[in-house]
Amino acid sequence: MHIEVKNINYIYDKMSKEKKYALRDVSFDIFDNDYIAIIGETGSGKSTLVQHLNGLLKADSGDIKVDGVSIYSKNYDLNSLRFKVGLVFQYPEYQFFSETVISDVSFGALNMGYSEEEAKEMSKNILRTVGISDEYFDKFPFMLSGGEKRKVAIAGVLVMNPEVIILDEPQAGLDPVSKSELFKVLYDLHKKGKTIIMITHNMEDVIEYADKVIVMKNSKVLKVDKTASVFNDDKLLSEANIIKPEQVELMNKLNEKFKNIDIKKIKQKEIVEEIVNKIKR
Amino acid sequence: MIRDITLGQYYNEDSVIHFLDPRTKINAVLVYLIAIFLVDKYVSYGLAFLFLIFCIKLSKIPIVFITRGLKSLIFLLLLSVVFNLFMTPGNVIFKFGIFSVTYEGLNLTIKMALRLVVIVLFSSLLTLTTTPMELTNGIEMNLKFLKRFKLPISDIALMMSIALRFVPILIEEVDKIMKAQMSRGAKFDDKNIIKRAKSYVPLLVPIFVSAFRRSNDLALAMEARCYNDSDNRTKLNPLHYKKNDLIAYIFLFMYFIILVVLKVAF
Ligand SMILES: Nc1ncnc2c1ncn2[C@@H]1O[C@H](COP(=O)(O)OP(=O)(O)O)[C@@H](O)[C@H]1O
Ligand SMILES: [Mg+2]
Repeated sequence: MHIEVKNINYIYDKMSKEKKYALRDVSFDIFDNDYIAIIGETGSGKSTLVQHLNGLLKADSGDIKVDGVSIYSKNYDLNSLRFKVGLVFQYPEYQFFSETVISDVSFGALNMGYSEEEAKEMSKNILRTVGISDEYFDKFPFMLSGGEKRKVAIAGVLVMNPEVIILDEPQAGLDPVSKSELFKVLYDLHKKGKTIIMITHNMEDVIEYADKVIVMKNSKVLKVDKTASVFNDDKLLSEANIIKPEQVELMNKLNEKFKNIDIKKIKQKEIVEEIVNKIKR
Repeated sequence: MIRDITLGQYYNEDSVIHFLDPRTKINAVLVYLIAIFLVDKYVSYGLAFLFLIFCIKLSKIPIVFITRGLKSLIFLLLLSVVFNLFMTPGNVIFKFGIFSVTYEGLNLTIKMALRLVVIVLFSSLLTLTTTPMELTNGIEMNLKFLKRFKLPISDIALMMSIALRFVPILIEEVDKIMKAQMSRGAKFDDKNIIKRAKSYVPLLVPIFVSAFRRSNDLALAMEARCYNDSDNRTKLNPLHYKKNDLIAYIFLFMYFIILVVLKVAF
């Protein structure tokens, strides 16, 4: 699925006297099977931006095209767009409303028109995929632990089998074990062909998982580029108030000292390989 | 969506009326209310109306915002008109069927309707020019004397202000939950009433849960900071009367006296 965002602008409080843009002239493309991280300071417009991608917010100007069709065109079915572009809000476990885990997860599938039976079956499958075992299915969602709640809530979006999965700070408030389990699930989905877009403040995760990074600042997109290029762009990092991650620092230092180090290799595994190779040579 | 609700109905402007002490404004509304029941002549109505227009002009609020308050009142107004018009005995002006309109009835109807309208307009001026926080502050100060009778005025005021503070927070929460459920394919605009009512269940539960969670957090935070309701609590922004308040009271007093004179003298 190809999503084109073209010059969108958005203002929250349209009535107020001075216009404060939450998004200003934002453009970029999302291609099939991308893994994109959106980074930037709090209040830079990240959450506002992702809510445009499934049509929850409508840009004041500019256009968004999904597979060549503008989502603002007349009679465009936004509801079915939302089944294809799944958006997981921050703290999604705050939306639980059912008595059982399984019925809460089924909500999306039922809304798509699946029968009760089918929805249940789909929910069971997706719950197992995110690592929730069968004995939890009939539990009261509010009784689960923080990490389990988050997984169940995310399953509530994944059950619709969206092609694009957007997550707004999915790791917020999670313990390290739950977090890495969750990221593994997302990575597996990506391997299976899903497009993943993730807002996060954790640069380690960006480096390990994302192929591309969108850098935001003051309602604008500063840069859309490959992860390694973004983190090697000192000017960009300081402009966006992002501290250079240690592994990037490490590779730069090594390169200064030993030369011929590929500073684009910043994932943990790549770094180890690069160093091992260097020693061998 | 839900965000379009204008809160309370405060209208932000820099006007003399906005800067008055909330106590002054609350008292003015009380005096205006009492005064209007002294009024029985059309001259006095004219005066009350002039006073209202004068205050509206001073407040710089567009007239449409003020008359908006009347919309919710139309039913009450119609009811009062019907009852007064047809149920008052006296000199019959004209008749259709069993209904007869009397001179006294017509007179009473016009006066009642005028009374209702000016009262509503004048009190909407209070809420339009005073933030909810100022309002609770003002009410608390005005009711302070009741403390002598062991009424927990500060507690009541605190409850009011917390409730008011929570409104925008809850609106934001509702907005977020609505969007989240819409992302899961929920529709809140179904034509079918039953379906629409059902679609609100996935909203109501999380909203209640969130309201409880937030109030629990707030209670904990207040206790952690040793909040207690002793009498010696001071205010961050204590209310002070200023010169304009004095002028306002003088105007108000003059208005009241003239109305009394009009009633007694003629
Ligand atoms: N619902 C809203 N109403 C009004 N302003 C908002 C709302 N949501 C966000 N904003 C404002 O829009 C800007 C961008 O917010 P947001 O997209 O939430 O940023 P981020 O997710 O990057 O922290 C901020 O200045 C924020 O105050
Ligand atoms: Mg955000």
